[in-house]
Amino acid sequence: MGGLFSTKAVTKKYGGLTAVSEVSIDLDPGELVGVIGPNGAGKTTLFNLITGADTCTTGTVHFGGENVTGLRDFERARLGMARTFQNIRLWPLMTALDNVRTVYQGARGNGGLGAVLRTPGFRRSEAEIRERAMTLLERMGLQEHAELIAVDLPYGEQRKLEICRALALEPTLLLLDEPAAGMNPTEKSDLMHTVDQLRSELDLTVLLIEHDMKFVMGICERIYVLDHGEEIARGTPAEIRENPKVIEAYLGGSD
Amino acid sequence: MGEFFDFFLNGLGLGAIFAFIALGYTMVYGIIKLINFAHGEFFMVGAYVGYFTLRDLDIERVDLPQPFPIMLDFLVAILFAALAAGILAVLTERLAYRPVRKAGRIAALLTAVGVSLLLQNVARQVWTANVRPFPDPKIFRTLDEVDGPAGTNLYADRDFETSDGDVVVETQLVVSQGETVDPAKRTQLEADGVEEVYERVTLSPKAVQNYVLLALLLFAPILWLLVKKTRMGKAMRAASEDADAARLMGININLVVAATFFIGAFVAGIGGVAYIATYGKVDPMIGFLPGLKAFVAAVIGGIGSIPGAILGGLILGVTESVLPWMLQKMGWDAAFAWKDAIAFAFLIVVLVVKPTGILGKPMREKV
Repeated sequence: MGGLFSTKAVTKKYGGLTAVSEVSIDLDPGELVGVIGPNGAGKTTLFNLITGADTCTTGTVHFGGENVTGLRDFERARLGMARTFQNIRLWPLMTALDNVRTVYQGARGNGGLGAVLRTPGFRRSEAEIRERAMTLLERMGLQEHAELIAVDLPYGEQRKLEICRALALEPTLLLLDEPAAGMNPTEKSDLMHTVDQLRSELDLTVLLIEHDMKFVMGICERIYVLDHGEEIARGTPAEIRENPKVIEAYLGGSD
Repeated sequence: MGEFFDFFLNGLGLGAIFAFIALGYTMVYGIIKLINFAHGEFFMVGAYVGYFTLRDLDIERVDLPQPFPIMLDFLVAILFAALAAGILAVLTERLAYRPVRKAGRIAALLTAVGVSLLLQNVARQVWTANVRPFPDPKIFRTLDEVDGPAGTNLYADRDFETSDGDVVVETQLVVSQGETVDPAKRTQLEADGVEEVYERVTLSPKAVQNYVLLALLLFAPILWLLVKKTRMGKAMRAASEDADAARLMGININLVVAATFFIGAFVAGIGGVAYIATYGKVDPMIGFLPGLKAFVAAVIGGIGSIPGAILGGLILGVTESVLPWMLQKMGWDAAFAWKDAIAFAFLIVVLVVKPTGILGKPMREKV
């Protein structure tokens, strides 16, 4: 193994349909890797298998040297596996700050009796959480929106807030599901820069799904290409760009 | 005006009971979008546990000046009732609701109806269908303490042998009010095996009403703090707004759901004791109509909203009490017999005017 994260031949079947078929991915610490593929290629399903939102039909998932296939989604999250969603899944009616804070709090247990009695220890830990949450928001340039209700934030900021929330898990692996979807080119290049920066500053390993080829090619060191649930190619952006299978999958095949 | 005020207060007391039950409905709905029809049965079981605690544990014997023993008696009964209801709710969630949680809302709803009927029938088998009168709190006295004229009726519990040879405990009036316990009477009592007598404290309905309201006033802010300020409360909100996202952010949803069921039923258990003290009886069916009305209260207030459940409960209670009174004043003699119909008609009016309930948030769709 050796790497930080790997899937070994993970497969997901829904009845007769195979959404993901024997996909094996390896990530070394600090890598920034992309998963691309046409619509319906199984990218989001793969993310669901990785995070435990969905269970593998066969195959295993390894994280930090451990087989996590049997762990539940929230347990994997607590091990340091955080994700964002293709269609934004913030807690829409909470403030931006609370969206981030809740994750910190969740990871720290509920505080038990201390929370009810508001003991000094509990207050200190609350104050610390608030500070950390604010630092994260600042890092993403959201500090002025801290007290705004999440759903009232502009679209691009909601995407950033989702990344903030994921970072509150203090992850080692960050999974981004189409982080640039719906953004304009300026916002995309900003985001590209931010993701790269976060990775080096926070020692993150990043796996991202993206539609926008330019975005993926510009940021990822390695790329996996899925089509119809199967891996059809892997390699550096340059290799992928030249790969005839990839070109066929993207420029239209039989479907 | 005085009469109106009486009916108004009476309505508030009644409404407080609805509010206690409605809180659980609203909390559970807020998190898993389940209308937990068995919630009224958690309330009923709480009421029974409270009843048995009051009747059998004789906590009033504690050696403190009055009225502390009676207060302690009620506090312990409330605590046991609330815990029992809470534990039952957690078990129900684990055994009946969690397995069908992924099967869709209709399956969950039908399971809830099934659990409700199951608990009603189990209660009927275990505790019989008999309506049991509320056990009045007692003030115990030894015979030495009642020397002289008795200010009130005095009772004693004595063992009787039935014709089948079973020994049953029966309460017997041994000294009537005004009767004097003189040496002759005392000898007679001792001969009958009476060593201790007690006075039964009848609670005035108004006092009960006030205590129920007071309990709600004390408890509502605690609940509010629990949900707004604690980490578990935040996790509950997160789970109610997007459970899948919460899971993937490291929140243990099963724990959050179990806690929600526990807290909701705990509060309903408090309402159970309030109910039997107010109505002076307990039977296996008491969960049905109050449960249904509490649900109405939760909907009126805006289901999913905690302040809404309290407001809805109080409004429904006052409506049910004041509206028939007004209609009766206006010449409709049968108005009080129609009070349930009036309550439900009121629900329909509220829903026509404001479909999301008084404090319910309008649905905000994501763009």
